[in-house]
Amino acid sequence: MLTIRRRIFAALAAGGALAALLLVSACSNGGSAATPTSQTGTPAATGTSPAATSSVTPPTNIGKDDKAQVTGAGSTAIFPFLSKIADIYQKDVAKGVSINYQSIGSGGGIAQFTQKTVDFGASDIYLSDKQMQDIGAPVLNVPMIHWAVAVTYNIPNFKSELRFSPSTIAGIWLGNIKKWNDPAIKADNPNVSLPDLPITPMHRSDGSGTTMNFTSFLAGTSPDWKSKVGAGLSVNWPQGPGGKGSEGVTALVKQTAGAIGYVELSYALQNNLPVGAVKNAAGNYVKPTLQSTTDAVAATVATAPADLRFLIVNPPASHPDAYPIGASTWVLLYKDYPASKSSEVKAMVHFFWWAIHDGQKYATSIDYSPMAPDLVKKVEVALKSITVGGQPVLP
Amino acid sequence: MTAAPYEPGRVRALLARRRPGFGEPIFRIVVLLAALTVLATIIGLVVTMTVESRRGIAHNGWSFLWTSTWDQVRQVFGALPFVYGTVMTSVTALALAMLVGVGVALFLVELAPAWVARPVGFMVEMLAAIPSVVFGLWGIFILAPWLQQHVELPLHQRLGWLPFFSTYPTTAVGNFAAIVVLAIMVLPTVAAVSRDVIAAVPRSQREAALALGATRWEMMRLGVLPYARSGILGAGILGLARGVGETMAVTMVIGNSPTITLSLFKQGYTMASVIANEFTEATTALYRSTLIEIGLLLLVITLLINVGARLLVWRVTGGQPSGGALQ
Repeated sequence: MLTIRRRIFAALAAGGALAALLLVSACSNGGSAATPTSQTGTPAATGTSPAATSSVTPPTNIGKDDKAQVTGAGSTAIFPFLSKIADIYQKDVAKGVSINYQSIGSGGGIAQFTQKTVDFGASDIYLSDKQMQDIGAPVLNVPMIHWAVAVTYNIPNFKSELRFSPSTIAGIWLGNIKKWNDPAIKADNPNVSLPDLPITPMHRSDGSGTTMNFTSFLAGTSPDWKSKVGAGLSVNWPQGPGGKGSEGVTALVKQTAGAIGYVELSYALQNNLPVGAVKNAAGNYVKPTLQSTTDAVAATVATAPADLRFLIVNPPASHPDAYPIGASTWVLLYKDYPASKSSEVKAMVHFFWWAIHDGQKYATSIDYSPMAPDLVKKVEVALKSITVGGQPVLP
Repeated sequence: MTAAPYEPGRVRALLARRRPGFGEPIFRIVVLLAALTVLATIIGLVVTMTVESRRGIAHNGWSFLWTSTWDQVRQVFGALPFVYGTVMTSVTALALAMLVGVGVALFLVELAPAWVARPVGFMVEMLAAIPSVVFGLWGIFILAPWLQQHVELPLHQRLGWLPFFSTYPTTAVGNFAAIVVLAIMVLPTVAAVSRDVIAAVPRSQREAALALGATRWEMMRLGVLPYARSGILGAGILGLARGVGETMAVTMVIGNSPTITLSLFKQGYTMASVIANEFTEATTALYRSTLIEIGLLLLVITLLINVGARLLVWRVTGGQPSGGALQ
């Protein structure tokens, strides 16, 4: 008995020593990371060079002396982008700024932002008038990333590329178009021989911005869809199975002969699923790409309201190559923050300023579409309007 | 360590050495606090969930319980398809798991030699330790497509006149896949508890039956199972509790479509799944509140199942204590 007890004690002591050792080494690591100040100069300098080319005041390397912990919460869709550029920002621009983002979903993000427990929120849908009223203080909805919602399908031994008009897509998900050789699909694809195979439309079972924009697209183009289903982060689907997450829908489409689904473009590409071209307002069938989505942003932004609350679905015909089903995530910011929050808000606004300029080049590497230049200008105006204790943050 | 030899002197020495004092009341308070923690947790859950769901309760009214439209765009909410899905899948899965689980338990205790029983018993317990999201991934990518090709299609072709198999299984996901995955997840609980219960049946029961000329099977049926039945029921209750609350695995394979159907090859939805699916992106206060109301309803249903099961055990045992029981 005694020997066992002694052994346990010895093990505990050893464990404690190990923990202490780790603690010491962690501290020394932290110290060493802070010491070589000479290194900070170089990456920051490379960060400035592209800024010179874009003709904007203030310069994009502002904020390199900021020190703050910025907290945010919300959308899961924006998380890969935010975490990537926050890393790069901390490494290349401002060593002292860390962005702590919890990707808990848009609903949680709005709730935390409303209760002011975070500095910024992020949501796959902009705040409604009522939600803005409930908050009781002026709020900015700033679009930050854009992506395409692709229509993907699984028809065995079928190599042709399919094209869809909006009414065909609505008809398929409403259950009016039941087979792949339906006249409506034939009309969109006159030179393709289509099989006599039942269509199984799949949807996202979890609430998502992808569903929001897909259903908004259908509600905007099909009166039938608008009256029967409507648009939302999750809707009452007339039929068909639902998969959890883009990966769930992708799996369902891959497994089911005759299936059709809608997913973020990146999922379809990574899984080698075919994507359909969709007819836009100009009457062209356009395939989803990063460029055709940026075109959609450019087409929409011209007529967009100044408060930046707009969807990039059914863009006007001004850009003939715009893909008509785009999605966005908005960053939610207060127009005025209390003076006590000064250092956090400065760091945060500087970070987002960097994100819409230099940060955009990292968007394409993770399959988001870069912001259209016209939108960047509008977001600049929004960011410049932010004040801390009544004082503007940006010059 | 080998078993300590019986030493009457040690107990006596301990009793003689103790000091009269606070030990007894302190011990009493500590265990009382431990018991109160459980009570406080349940009361706390019910209170906070009721408060958080009051907006939903006021908006949805009682018809929430028996209507079946779930449309957050128009803010019309009915919970019936989710209640139906939860009860239907978990009860069916439990029935499957009980059949196999009690069989496993009988085999391990009564028939298998020790060198088989030990590793098999260990593996059954291992099954309980697999995280549910792993079951879900395996379910959606491997089990569900296999079931569709090798079980659902033949069942539909041969027994398609039965309402359960009447739908052509176009997709792999659906009620059937959910039930099978759930049954596999519930199985270790049922099998492990039943095994312990059956092993606790006194040898004299078996010997008496065998002495009267019973065969192996008659010995189990007459000597072992009646003695262990309340314990086996208890195993079922534990299994059902796991089935009702299971979220991730079911969400991934059930197809998430709020429909009430007898067909096993159609898609369904459970209460836990709708919360898991929609809570993160519930952006309006009423919608959030309604999802919490579903959670409250799930809690109430779980409590009802437990109370019902307790009554059932009581009836089966006739209020008499029985050997090998959990209670």
